[in-house]
This record gives sequence, C-alpha cells and structure tokens, in this order.
Amino acid sequence: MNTQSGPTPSQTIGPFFKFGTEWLADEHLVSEDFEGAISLTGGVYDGAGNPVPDAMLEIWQADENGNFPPDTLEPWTGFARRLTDANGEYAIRSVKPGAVASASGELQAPHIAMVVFARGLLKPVFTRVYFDDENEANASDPLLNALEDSNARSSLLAMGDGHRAYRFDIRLQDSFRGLETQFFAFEN
Amino acid sequence: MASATILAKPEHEEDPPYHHGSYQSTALRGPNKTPLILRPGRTENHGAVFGESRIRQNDDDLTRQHPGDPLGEKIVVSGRLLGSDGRPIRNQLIEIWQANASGRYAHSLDDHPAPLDPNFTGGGRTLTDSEGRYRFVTIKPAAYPWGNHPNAWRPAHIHFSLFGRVFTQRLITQMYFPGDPLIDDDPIANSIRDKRVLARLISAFDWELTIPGTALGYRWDIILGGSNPTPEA
Repeated sequence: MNTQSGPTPSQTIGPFFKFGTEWLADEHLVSEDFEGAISLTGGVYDGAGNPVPDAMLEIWQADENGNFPPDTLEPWTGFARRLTDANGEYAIRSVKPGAVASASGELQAPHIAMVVFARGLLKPVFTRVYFDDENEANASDPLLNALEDSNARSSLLAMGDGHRAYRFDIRLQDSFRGLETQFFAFEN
Repeated sequence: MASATILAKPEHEEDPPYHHGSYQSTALRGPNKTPLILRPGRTENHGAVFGESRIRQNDDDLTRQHPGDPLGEKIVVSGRLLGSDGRPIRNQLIEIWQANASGRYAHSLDDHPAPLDPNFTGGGRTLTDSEGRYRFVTIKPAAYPWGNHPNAWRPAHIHFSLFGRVFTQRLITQMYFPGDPLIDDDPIANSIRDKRVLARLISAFDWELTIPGTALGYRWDIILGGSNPTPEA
C-alpha cells in the first residue's frame, strides 16, 4: 500500500537534533597531510546578526579532479556534515574541487554545494560555495555571471587567506545591509 | 531573470514558506529574498556515498540501545522511500530522532520538566533495502509544550532525515500520528498550506506491521521530490 500521493513536504529540523545527527558530523573529506587540503570555516548568522548555534550544515562536492563517486580514483564520499558550535561556527577540512560541467555542458568554476538546516527554517536553504582566488574561472562561471546583484555574487565567495584557509559565512537574513546569502531552489 | 543556469520557474509550492508568522522562529531565520531557481549542475546531481560500515546493530531498534526496556508504548514504524518517479531509493540512509514517552528529548537544552528515560535516547538510523523499505522499532513519542505561544503543544512526531539519489532531494521532515487533535493547531504542521499535502506527513495505523503482543504498527511512505537527474552524456 502506498499511502502517499506526491512529494513529502519539508518540516523544520527543530532545536533538538544533536543526538540524532551528530554521529555523521565528525568526518573530514581528506586527511590532515593530504596535499592540497584546504580548511573551510565560517559562521551562520540570523537576521539580527546573531550567530546560530543550533544549525546543521552539509557540503557535497567533487574531488580535486572534478570527479564524483563512483568515478573517483581514491575512495571519496563527497560529503561532510557539521553542527554549528556555541558561536555558530563550523570547520571542515576538504579540497578545492576540480571544475565540473553545468547542466548545459559549460565548464563551471570550482564550487561546493551546501545545505543548511535550523530551527526556524521550515525548509532548508541551499547555496554554493565558490572561491575568491579563482578570478579567471569565476569570471566565466555561468551561475556567477547570471547574478545581477553584486552582493548576491560576493555572498557566494569563500574568502581565502592565501594559505589554503577559506572563510564562508551564511547570512540567513540580512536585509539592512543587503548581505543575505544568495540561496537557491531547484526545479522539480 | 532567466538563463541556462537560473530558471524563472516559480518555486515548488507544496513545501512550507520561509516565513510563517505563527511559528515565531522563522522571523529572524527565514531568508527575505526569494531563492533563485537553479538548474542543477553535476555537483547538485550527484549522490553522496555512505558506507554501511557505520550502521551498527540496534541502530534501527531504539528500544534496545540500553540495558533495560524503555517506558512507553512500543511501536513499529515502517514504509518505503521512493523517488517522485515511483522507483525505490535503495540502500540509502534514513535517520530519525524523537522525544521519549514523556515528551522529553535527550538534549541538554530541552527544559520541559518531564522525566528523561535512562533506557531511551531516541536516535536511530538504518539503510533502505533493495525495494526502498525501512523499518524502525521505537517508543511512541508524547506531545510536549513549547514556548511559541501561550499553551502551545507540539503534536507527537518523529523527525526524519532523508537522502535521495542526488543532493537536490535532501529532505528533513516530521512524521505525525493519525487522529492527533494537536495537529490542527500546530504552527509547524500548518505551515504547509494545502491540507492534502500536510496529510502526507501523517502515518497510517497498520495491523500488518504490528508485533503481536508487543508493538503496534504505523506505516509511512516517503516520496522525495527534487529533480530527478537526467542521465549524463
């Protein structure tokens, strides 16, 4: 018996998910001594500028050659989960992904897919993490070029320190300064 | 704005909105800008890989994770995980978490003065089988009060975290129980505007799922929308 007639709708993750989801929140995508390892850190903020200490975020990405499972040379999950800490911060060790093709076949700048869940979000927010030191690739990226608002574009850039450490903040709401992160939804 | 990457098509309307006045936490956390509709690229059209190695015995039986038996009404919750094309989503991770039989979560910030149960944590996980089936044994969670508005109570529910074949199908939601009078006044459930869509979150009592003399059974199938990936050239 199929009791359902259409896609199951979303509900909030709520505030008390830690004991159900933290078991999968301890893995990095590469080991500490991996050549080319980067750190991706940042904070999640609400519309008052306060950190969100009860968010869960996940990243999904290609490996450094732009490959996904099962086509990677080394074992590769392409996935990491974090629960934000008391300061609303997260930290993941990964690699900058290789270039991958868009839906229409154009080459895209290196990017990571990110999804954020939190109490107060009745459905998740989806976004993309690009890298601010990829000027040439970013300049020809079809998604970045389709964004007319310069704040929306810059909200998708992780800021590098020149030493493989990148910071990417997620502003769930930021209407006063116009710095709200650009979020996406997907066609069905 | 429409391009090969950004689509002008409106967002899927069955999911709740980011802003729902009667659920107060949405006020400062829901984005104010409408999300742009993105045509998924390969990054959004790939599936993450989870090894079975991290799923342990009794992860799918929440009544056997401690030395003693938990308090409350033992239940079976089972169903199928399907894509919107009707095909089963096989060998994929399902995670659940819930309050105990008194309506208390095993979480340090839950200040509801109902007792914790030393024999019940309330977290579980499993992998779907080759037909997309899953099955948990657990305790029926109780309703509990919350601070959203005066005398606010959440209907009994189990949180579900679901993975599809691709990133765009990622879903976290809540399963409710049939006949619960609290559903009608719950701001979170009623953030879904169409009652027929909300009904998809309500499980069905099912004699066939019962364990005679031990547990009652509830059936709940899950259909993951999101885009169905097109085969890559």
